[in-house]
Amino acid sequence: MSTELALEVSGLKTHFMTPEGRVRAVDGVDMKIGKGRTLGVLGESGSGKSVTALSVMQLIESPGKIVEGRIILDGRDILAISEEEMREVRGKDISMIFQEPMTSLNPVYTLGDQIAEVFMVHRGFSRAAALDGAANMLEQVGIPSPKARIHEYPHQFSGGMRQRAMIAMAIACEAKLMIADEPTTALDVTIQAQIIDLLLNLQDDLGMSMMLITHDLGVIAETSDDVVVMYAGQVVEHVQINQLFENPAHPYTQGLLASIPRLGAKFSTGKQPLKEIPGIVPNLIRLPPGCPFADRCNHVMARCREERPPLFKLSDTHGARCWLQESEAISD
Amino acid sequence: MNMAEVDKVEPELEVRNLKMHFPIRAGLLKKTVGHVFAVDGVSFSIGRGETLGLVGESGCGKSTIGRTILRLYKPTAGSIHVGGKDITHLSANELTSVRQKMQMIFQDPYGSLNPRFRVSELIGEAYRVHSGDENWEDHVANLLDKVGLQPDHMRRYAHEFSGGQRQRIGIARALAMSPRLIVADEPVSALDVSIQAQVINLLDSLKDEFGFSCLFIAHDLSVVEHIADRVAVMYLGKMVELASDRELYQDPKHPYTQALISAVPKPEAGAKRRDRLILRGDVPSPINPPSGCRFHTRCPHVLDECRTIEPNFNEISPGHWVACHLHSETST
Repeated sequence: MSTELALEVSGLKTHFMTPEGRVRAVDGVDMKIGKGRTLGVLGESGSGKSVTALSVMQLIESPGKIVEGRIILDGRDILAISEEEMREVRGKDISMIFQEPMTSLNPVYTLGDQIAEVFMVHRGFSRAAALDGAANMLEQVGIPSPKARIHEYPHQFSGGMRQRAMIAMAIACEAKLMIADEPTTALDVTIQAQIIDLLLNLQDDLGMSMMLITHDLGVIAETSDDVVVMYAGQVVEHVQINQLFENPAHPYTQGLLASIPRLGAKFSTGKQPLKEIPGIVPNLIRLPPGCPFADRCNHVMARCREERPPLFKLSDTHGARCWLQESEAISD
Repeated sequence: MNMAEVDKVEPELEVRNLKMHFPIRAGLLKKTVGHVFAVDGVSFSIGRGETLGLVGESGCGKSTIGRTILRLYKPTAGSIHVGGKDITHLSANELTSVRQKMQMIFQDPYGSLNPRFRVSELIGEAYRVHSGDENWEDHVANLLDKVGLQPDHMRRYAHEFSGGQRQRIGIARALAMSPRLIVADEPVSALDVSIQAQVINLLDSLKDEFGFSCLFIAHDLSVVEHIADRVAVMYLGKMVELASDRELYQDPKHPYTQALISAVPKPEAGAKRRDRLILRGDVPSPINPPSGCRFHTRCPHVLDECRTIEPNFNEISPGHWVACHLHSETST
């Protein structure tokens, strides 16, 4: 991609030193987000998608540690800056929203105060001006009667409204990059549709770039321009959204696409058993020497168990970490 | 008002005008200050070997229906017949024998298995007590085999298993007494995508083999479409539509059903910014549900009468029931 990058992560390793051993939660991750684009990060629990996001925010707590890698935000390596400078970056340059807004909102402060704080800290507004700003933000994310609701507490909001309030807080500083970690997973499907719609509209209006983390292929399809598929701490495939569905290269990606029930399939083709991915996700402490997906892969070869595959480049916008793609790979 | 739904064969489960209201108590004297109208007049039946899918968003009362049918609650009004027997008013003692034939599979494979019991006891305790079979462990071994686990797993404890394996244990436990009716409450929603397909296929094949009837409660419309023979949609304690799987998904009549299906994110190329029905607003509280049709506050087709008159649950074509004034002409 020749477009300018909002974020470039390369060779990121974040490990957790536990009594049982070193958990390689993120183990050599590369990803790029073009300016104004949305990168979907697809993976199951334990794939390292949330740890990647928290690493970008540098919110990894002991016993976790970023042991290697570079994180370039808008041309600046934010792994090289001080904690004080990083605090500026959080909120101002990168904002983040989480799956369960209730856990990230403070229950003893009104929503207005919590959003106003962003304006006061990052922009030096007075309290009155900041509260006005907070009401504006709530209006922008579609919360009715915002002037009254800034005086309410988080528990007085429904789940969908809380997520809207979180988004209001996240866009308050016009951060250039928003990281959304399963932003709709805790929501009902009709509310999820509202929030997806809101995120897409805000992105158009504000021109921000977005990293959207999810396990849901449908949510990825409706929000993302580019996708990275994560498995056992690595990116196993990076691909543009339409190619993800039309031409997936990694057997894990193919397996995921084949395993989900799809609306209407039963009536057009008759009821077929779902295609299972056998087995379970490997233990991140005792990863096998070869490809971590080898035990579950229906194309496994002897080499897969011995040697970890590199990321083979299939086109400028498509790569897969699978030995099967070696013959298809083009050189840089 | 005739809400009865006539089945050709004698149904395994028959629910008539079921109401489950929970009192809200407040103050020092725990005075009842209101009610949560969790289930408010619901009628349906499930035929032998049939799977009825029950969908709806959080708070619509779908889980309460499942629990009330199993008589984990004492219903406020209405009747429940299982295998032709009225169990609505049975005492705890009388329920003991009935419960063997009605089992539940829970959402949370972590919280629903006692960590102090071995798998053999988790699955086989009820069978051992009721049958007096000295070789009860053979029965457990057989069940483990049926759900895709190893017989020697019976010596282990629940924490030694992954989420998917625990759900298999939960299923084996439900099958141990050869039940005629299984209530499965969100049985795959806590599982990873790659594991969901395994458990859905397992449930499908066990249904064929054991021939039990099933109330399959879920919020994921794609999963329900795949597994159910007929599907019911709930909104705020009411059933708004009930039809065969094909009719409900391919020709939904109720505006809420239409919005639910439209809101399901589509895992396919070109899904970004597709046209879909987006409902305004939130689900109102079941403590103080709207007058008339409960959906009228969010309905895109709302008529004047919807605000005041509650629509009947009418059979608009054979086996297709809808509670909506837009579809009431045929009945009047």
